[in-house]
Amino acid sequence: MDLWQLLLTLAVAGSSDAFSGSQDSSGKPKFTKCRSPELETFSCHWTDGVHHGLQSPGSIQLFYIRRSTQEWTQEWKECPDYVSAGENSCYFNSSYTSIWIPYCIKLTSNGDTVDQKCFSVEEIVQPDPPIGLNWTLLNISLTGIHADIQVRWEPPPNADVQKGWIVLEYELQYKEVNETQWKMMDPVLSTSVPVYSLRLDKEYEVRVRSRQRNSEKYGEFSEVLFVTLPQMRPFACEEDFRFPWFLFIIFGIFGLTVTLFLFIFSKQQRIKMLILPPVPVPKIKGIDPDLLKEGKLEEVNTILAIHDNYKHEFYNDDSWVEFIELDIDDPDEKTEGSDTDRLLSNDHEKSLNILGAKDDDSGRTSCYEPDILETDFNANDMCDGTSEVAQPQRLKGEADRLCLDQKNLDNSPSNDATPASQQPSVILGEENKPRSLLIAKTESTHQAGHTQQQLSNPNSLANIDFYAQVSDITPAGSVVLSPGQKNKAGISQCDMHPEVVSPCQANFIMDNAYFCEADAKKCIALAPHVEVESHVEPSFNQEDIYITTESLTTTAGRSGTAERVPSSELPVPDYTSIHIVQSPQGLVLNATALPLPDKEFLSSCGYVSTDQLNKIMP
Amino acid sequence: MDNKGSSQKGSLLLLLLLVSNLLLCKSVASLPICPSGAVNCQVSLRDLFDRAVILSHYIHNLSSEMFNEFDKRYAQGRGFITKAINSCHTSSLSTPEDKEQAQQVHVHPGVKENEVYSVWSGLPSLQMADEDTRLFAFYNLLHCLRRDSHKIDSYLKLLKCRIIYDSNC
Repeated sequence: MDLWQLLLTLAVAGSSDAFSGSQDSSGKPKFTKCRSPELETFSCHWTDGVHHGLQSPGSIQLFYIRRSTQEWTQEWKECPDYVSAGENSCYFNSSYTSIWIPYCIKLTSNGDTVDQKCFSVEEIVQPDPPIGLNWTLLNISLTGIHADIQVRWEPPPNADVQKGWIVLEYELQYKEVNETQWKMMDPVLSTSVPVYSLRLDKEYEVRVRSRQRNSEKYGEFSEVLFVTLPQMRPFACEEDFRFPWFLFIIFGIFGLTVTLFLFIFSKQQRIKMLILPPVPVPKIKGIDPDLLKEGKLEEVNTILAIHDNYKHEFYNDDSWVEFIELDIDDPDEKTEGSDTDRLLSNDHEKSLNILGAKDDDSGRTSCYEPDILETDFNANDMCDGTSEVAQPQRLKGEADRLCLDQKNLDNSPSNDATPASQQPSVILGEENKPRSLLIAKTESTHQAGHTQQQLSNPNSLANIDFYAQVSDITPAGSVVLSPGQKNKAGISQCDMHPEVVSPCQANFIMDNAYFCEADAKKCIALAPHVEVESHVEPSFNQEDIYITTESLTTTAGRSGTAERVPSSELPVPDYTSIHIVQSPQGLVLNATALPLPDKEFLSSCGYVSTDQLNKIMP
Repeated sequence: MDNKGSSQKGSLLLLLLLVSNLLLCKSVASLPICPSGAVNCQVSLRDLFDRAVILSHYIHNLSSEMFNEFDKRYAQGRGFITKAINSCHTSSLSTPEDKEQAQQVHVHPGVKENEVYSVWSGLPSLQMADEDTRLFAFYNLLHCLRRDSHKIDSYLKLLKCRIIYDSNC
């Protein structure tokens, strides 16, 4: 093997020397290609270079050598067939061909090796072109413009694909007759392939070539196949099928117009309903706004009283409306003057507008927020347009603060500065028009009152009280509130006495939003040391923050059964019940006048109606 | 030093290519011919041959690709072809050399022939420090792999067509 290699190397070197030597490089014969079409035979071709230097064209010979498994043949053999493959070629038939065996051939001219090449037969496979190309029509498109065809061919006859000795793959190329660039398709293993989307009015050329699978070199192309497709149908459409945009638009506009007219001239209400659905608003059932306007308070109260469930509902979770806001939302009302005027007016009926409920569609929020209190009292309703949903949240928050602060409140029994805790506070503040019948009630105990005060100052004394006492109403119409400054001092004191009974707190806490009187009673009972008695217990001792007219009415007449005796001595409370304004000069906030409600009233846990108020108040 | 580094990188790349190809090869015939746990798994000869041919074809495909890549990248102008023409370690194995001889191959199930092992001792040359020697070793290895895989692929296809399709593929 080594010797053979050495020989080979020398031969190559020698040939290169010969090349660089006397002969003209362009004239030397050399191998052009060696090719095996079917992996059974092969042939080599060379160029017969012009020998400038030599006078006579030397006889060119080809020698080959191959390594066999059996023996080392080191001698070069001459080409067995110079003819079969054409001029300047050497043909090796199957008996001389061994696959997977290295061959080396050399070309000699006058005994001098001019070229040499080594290869294995499986590396030089280039199959013959396929034969028997034909095509069939597959289908024609609906538009009559394009068609698909199926091209078929036969493998080259000398390739033994049937026995599986060689496996071929084919590549098809096609183009229009007058084109120059061929379109190539991906190689396929089968002998037929569809060609899609050929135009019916054009002629095409198709050709196929093959190669051994896993090889790189293709064989020659087959003969060109001409594909002449049938002519187009006579009624074929235009090439460019234009979408009838014009018609489309016309009809579209027409249809839209018709629809529009239909909508406009029929069933207008429904359209309006669809487009602008009415906003659901809380309405007081069964209350005729006119009734309220006329000032028939008793009737209104009766109606309200009837709706017992109405009140309870508010205590349930549902609701974003926790109380009936009896607001006046009539623009006419506004023109009549501010609510303050109404309050101050001698007109009793007008004053009842406080309770008047306007059956309007706009939702009203409660005017609870201390922020609102802080705002300009001369301002118009701040509560207008606020969402009802915000109400309960605020209330809840306040209630939480109520609960949380209960402890502090309980701890400050001796807070004389907050006598008004007993009394319902009036939230008039937000605006000059206290439309809402928001009569905030302080807790039954002074503790509750502290709570309320605490509410307003949950964490800091600087905050304005949530509930503020209306101390005065100026003629200009602004409400002057007295911030519970006394209470602030009291609050701090409250903090110093954290001995409140926990169950009391718990109870309060349980009842998240409102305090039932029962709980309040417990608190009161548990804290007997609390100088509650010294303070004026508002008749609404309860936890009820709000007084409904209903509860007022129900408790009418119970004034005698007040649990606590209102102290004779009562410092000016911060929170006082609303006493119907009698005089235009101001509100009479008469905390002392409020007798303690009896149990029934306490258990109402609801609102206190104005009647009740009236009855309770002197 | 530069050449050495690049050639080592090339060797690594080639090894990665080889490994990845082998892993891909698994995906080609990933379905087990007999599901695991099957006791009496009967596979038709047709399926067996089909699978074998697919595998052999794939291996040959990969070998060709590897050889071409290597040749293109590392062996240009080095004259490896002349040196590698005769140096496959499997050359000593006696195998059919043409179609006629290949057609004489018969499948004799159960007959265990003397397995003539041809030990490959080229591993040290693959690890040689000399870049030329090392590259030539790789070239030689890939060349031989391509040739042998083609041989096996051809035999199997011949057998398949003869046995399954009765010489009418």
